Amino acid sequence: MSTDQQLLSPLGSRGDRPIYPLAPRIAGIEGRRIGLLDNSKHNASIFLDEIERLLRAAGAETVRRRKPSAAASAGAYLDELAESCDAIVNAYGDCGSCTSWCVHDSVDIERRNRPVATINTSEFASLGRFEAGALGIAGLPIVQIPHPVGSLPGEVVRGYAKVAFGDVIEAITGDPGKLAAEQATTPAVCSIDPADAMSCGCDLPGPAR
Amino acid sequence: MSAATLTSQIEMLDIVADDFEEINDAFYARGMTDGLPIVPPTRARVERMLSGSKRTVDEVLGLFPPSFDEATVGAVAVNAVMAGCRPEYLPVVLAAVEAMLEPEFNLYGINATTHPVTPLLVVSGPVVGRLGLNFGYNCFGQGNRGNATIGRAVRLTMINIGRGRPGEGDRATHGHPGKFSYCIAEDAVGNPWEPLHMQRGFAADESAVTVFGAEAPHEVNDHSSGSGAGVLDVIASTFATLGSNNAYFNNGELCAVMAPEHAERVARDGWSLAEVQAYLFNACRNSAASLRASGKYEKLVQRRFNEKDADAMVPMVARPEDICVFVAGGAGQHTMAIPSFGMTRSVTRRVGD
Repeated sequence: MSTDQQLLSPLGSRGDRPIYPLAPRIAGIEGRRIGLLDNSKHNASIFLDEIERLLRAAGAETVRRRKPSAAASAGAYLDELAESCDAIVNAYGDCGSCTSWCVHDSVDIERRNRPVATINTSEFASLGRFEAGALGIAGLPIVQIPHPVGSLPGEVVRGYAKVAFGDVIEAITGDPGKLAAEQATTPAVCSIDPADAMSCGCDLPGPAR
Repeated sequence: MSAATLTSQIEMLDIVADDFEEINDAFYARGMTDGLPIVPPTRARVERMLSGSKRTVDEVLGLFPPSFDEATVGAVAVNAVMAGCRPEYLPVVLAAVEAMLEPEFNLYGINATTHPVTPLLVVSGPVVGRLGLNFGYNCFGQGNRGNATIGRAVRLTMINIGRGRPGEGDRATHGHPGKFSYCIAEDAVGNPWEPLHMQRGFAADESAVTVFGAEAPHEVNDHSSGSGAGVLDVIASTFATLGSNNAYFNNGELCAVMAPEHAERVARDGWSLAEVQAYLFNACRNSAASLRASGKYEKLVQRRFNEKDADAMVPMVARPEDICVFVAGGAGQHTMAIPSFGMTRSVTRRVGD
């Protein structure tokens, strides 16, 4: 093939953009201050209500912030939460643009040296992982809940929060190396069976994907 | 710079086929196309493409979300070749990409969202005539090489540089047909008011491209209302729907593309552009009751209306000037109403050399 006929790549390049380590995790949640970042997606507040209740029951103090739009950065809340909290729970990504900005916020907070548990639904966790890697933290711990969630009754959403609570705690207290390795080696599949969250007796609308 | 070094910084693909069909199969298999056949981006073709711009091949236009990979002039030129652009179109494609990479456009949200949004390119100024771009009959449809391939080149950059592939970095639930190509020119002569780029501070003899984070165009048929205000009322009724993102992401923009006959009918009654925008601002509204009933009221991004009035009509944008009005289209009494993603601002960039 002549030089003229060589085919050139239409892709962009990563250039020399840095990659970042995960923030150090905290040793436990008792007596700690945990920030709850609500991205204003439907039912995110209900999910965080339940996480908040469980955190307080475990002896943590909580701070709530709600950004006005899911498809934008959390802006000034990033500095505020990173400065005033020991760890953050960020809910949630259940669509394209909100997953993008949810993950963007989490990376911004991790880069401020605070651990984040980032909640994505199973359908969008693969997007979240791709975006976390693109932003330089491929191992960002993404906690998966079943998809969809925004259209479900509140009791089911609380059920999801209950079942995901252990993963949330692990994401902010676990070993960073192990957490990052899990994101790299396990498929982006949600381990939560919607049926486990159904103790409330509600019916899920349609099969979980 | 010699031709041999011009493209030396662009990575080569490991595709060795030299047969058109085989090359296309390989690009398609790598997810590098929009599904249609591409023009193989050979070094010779990319070098010819780069001759259409004075900019250097390794200049970085910005980081392209959601991959945040570097969008260089060279990478954009490769995509322009694949789209079938002529070299003289390249400055328009480069200006459009630069506009999309401005933070207020929110390409990070737009490329990944479930909403059916894609950049609509509107080309203004002398470059329209120079490139023979279509602002007339069927300007949103097929038929003009410049419109078709400039818009397609931008989509290919979103696929290849931003890595917005369906089900990966592009999570559009349905998408819309304009995602193949969505580029029109504006009709400065048929416009009784200021053309779009001049509304945004550019001179008449400057060329510019404006990008809107846009849904598909929605038809506004009005052959019958018999007055300028009547035309505007029908446009407003097409915008004022509960399904639009603008119903509650109500600090974005709406875009009305009026055919010359509709614009003339309105201007004939003495309306200025500012008056048109003010009228549409007041008329493009959903009722607070309907927003409450559909659960959207609590999500309103701005509340510049009387919240204590249960019968309040809620604006879809924050200010009259957020309703963009310009002229394109052939003969006929039609307007295209184009809602937006909501969480995006349109951006206008000068088309350089």
